[in-house]
Amino acid sequence: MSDSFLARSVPVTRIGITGLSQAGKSTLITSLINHLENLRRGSLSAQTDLDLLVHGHWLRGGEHSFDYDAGLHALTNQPVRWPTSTTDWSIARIEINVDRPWYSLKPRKRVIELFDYPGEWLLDLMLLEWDYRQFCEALWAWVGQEPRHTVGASLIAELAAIDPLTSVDTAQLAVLQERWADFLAECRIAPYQLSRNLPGRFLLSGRDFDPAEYPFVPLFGLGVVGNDAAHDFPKGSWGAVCQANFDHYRNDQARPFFDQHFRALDAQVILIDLLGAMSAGPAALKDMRAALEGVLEPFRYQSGHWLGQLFRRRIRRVAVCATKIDHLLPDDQHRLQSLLESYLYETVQRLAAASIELKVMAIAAVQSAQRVEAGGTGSLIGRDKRNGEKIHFTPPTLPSTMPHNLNLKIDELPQLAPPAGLDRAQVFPSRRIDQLLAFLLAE
Amino acid sequence: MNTGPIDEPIRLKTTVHQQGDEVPEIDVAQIRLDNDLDAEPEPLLPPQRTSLFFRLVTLSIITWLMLQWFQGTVWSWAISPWLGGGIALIGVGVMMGLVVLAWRARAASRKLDLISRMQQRIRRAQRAHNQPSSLVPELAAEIDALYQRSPLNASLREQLAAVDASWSVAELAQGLNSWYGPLDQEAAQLIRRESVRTGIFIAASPYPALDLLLVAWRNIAMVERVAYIYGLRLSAPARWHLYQLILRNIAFTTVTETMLDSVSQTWLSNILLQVGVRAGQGIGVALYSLRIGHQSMRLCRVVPESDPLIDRNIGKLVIDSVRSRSSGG
Repeated sequence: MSDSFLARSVPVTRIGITGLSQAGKSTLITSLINHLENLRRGSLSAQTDLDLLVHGHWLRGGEHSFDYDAGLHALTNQPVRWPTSTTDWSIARIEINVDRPWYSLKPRKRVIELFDYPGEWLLDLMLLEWDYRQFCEALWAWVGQEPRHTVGASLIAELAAIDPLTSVDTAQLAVLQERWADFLAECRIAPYQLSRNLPGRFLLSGRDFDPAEYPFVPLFGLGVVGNDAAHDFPKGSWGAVCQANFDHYRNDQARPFFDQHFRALDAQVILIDLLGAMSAGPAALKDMRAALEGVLEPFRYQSGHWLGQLFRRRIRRVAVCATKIDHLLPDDQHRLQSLLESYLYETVQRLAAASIELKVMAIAAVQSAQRVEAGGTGSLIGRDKRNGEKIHFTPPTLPSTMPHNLNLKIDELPQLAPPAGLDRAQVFPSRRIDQLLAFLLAE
Repeated sequence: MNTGPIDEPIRLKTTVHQQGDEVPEIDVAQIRLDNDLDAEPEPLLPPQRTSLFFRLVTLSIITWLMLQWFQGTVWSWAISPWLGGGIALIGVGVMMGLVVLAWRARAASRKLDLISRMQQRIRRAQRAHNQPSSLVPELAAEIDALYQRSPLNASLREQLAAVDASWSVAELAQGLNSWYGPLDQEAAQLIRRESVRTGIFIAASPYPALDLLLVAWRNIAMVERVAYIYGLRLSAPARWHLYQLILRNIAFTTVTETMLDSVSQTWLSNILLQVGVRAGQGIGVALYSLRIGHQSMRLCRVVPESDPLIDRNIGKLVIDSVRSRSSGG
């Protein structure tokens, strides 16, 4: 890796970490660094795969460095809160000392780079293979389904009413683009929690891209979608301008990002908020699964395909992790793992033949609920994220299998704030972070 | 879109019991402790890692010893055939002794592997199905063979007498768990008592060197007594694994002792603070002793634990006991 922070003599393992809507990337990275800093304490010390790793040290500084201080500040100061969301890409670097026998020729240091980028950008993987017309057709199919159809009814009607062959009104295009971004933002959060929100950089543009410079929106008029789609758009028309700007977005923003960063990745972690999607209902569950299938698709490409070359050159391990399982009782945490496996069964089966090690896991980066037992029944206490009040609740009992039509909905599961009393010098209480690290770092 | 009961999602309801200041405060230390007790059980034995270097050194030593013995035999034969024959016989005797020892270690290790494999098979069968299985009589026979020379053999045979092919693995595990019940209880009480005692000793002990001996002595005694309760004699590899855990506990005591010494010269002139740090050291040792005891229990049971063998409240009780008694004393 030419952009590595350290000299090349130290082997670098770069792990991409991303997540779909509100999955808790920054919290996970903060927790991973905390675990690596406290390697010989807590559950990580019991992982036989990692028993050669003896000491971890977070490297401060460097280009695009992950703000670990901000994560610690959020989690350890009063009042405690979750670290702020990722808005651009960054890298956290941790130097690990490895305890090797004196005669071993293998290096005694190792650098772990946690490459954090917004999940919204990962979704752009889906549009890399599309031209503008395919983009419009895919989105036309999505907005035809609930709840997108109702949420964006007026915007969709307006976009469908535009004749792509007429001359573009740039002021109206700018307004429509902003409204499309707002529509995506609304779909992304509760109560809908949809995952397929394209283009991803309309939601989080990053520091090097301004969507207003090259505005475009999907057009649903007769000239773009459907069987009678026109072959060419006249110069200066809605269709031509949107197509050119879409091409620019795809070729000069989305593709270079993957080209530059994905070549160096050794492993990839994709976080999903399965409980959030279950709280939102079947539509969110279906949309999340479709989004995951879309982003995992490039791993299956053959070596002749440019995306295939990009992904299969180095990435050998992929972990799909459902987060926030601490909001459930232990038995249900096990059931959630089974639900996750059956939810992603088809995707896992497809990747199994591609010599990619794929692991699906249910984890909690920082455990925010404490179990209490009274009269032989378990319940949880925590602090409500919205109002900061303490709450004592019994989470629902999950079914042991996922219904094939995903018709499942969790009612009123509280969103918890992190617990007070976390300390950098001790391992943050978490669930299965040790197993995740063992999977990602095993030699 | 279809409407009607078929499209209605299955609704899973959360019950909120209380909200506000009446809800007890969340204790991060307790969450950590709960996690330690709930953690996926570590493997009964760490995987064997014999490095190439270690093998080469062992082979060289054995070859050198053989050469020495052969040379000695030839020289002594030249002096007197009786002397040569005697040395040759001694050599053969030593070799045969070593072979017997190696064979016994291997057999003991197999026994432990058998327990480990049995636990795995039961766990896998429990996950896979809950139907009557031909595996059950096979497992019952293996368990019976394992306890052949144990004082608990008679009562175990009584328990296994009713087992036949109509039983499922889950039923067998349940039956064995109920048979293990009183033993588990006795072992858990012993471990709790020993952990508290060791923790208090450490918290109160004025001599660092004594601490190490105390930890080693109490932990080894605890391991032996746990094995005795379960009617098994621990094999050499199992013992070695547990002793490694004990050594780590001793290392913890040494490190905290050193820290205590260096810190006390600078900051901890206050006697109350010293007492607090001592109590912390005692709690650490006690919790580690609890873990060693838990691992010993797991090593001695042929069925995997269904409920935690060491109840989560025991950890809390140990902490409270060590804290209160060390500050009181």
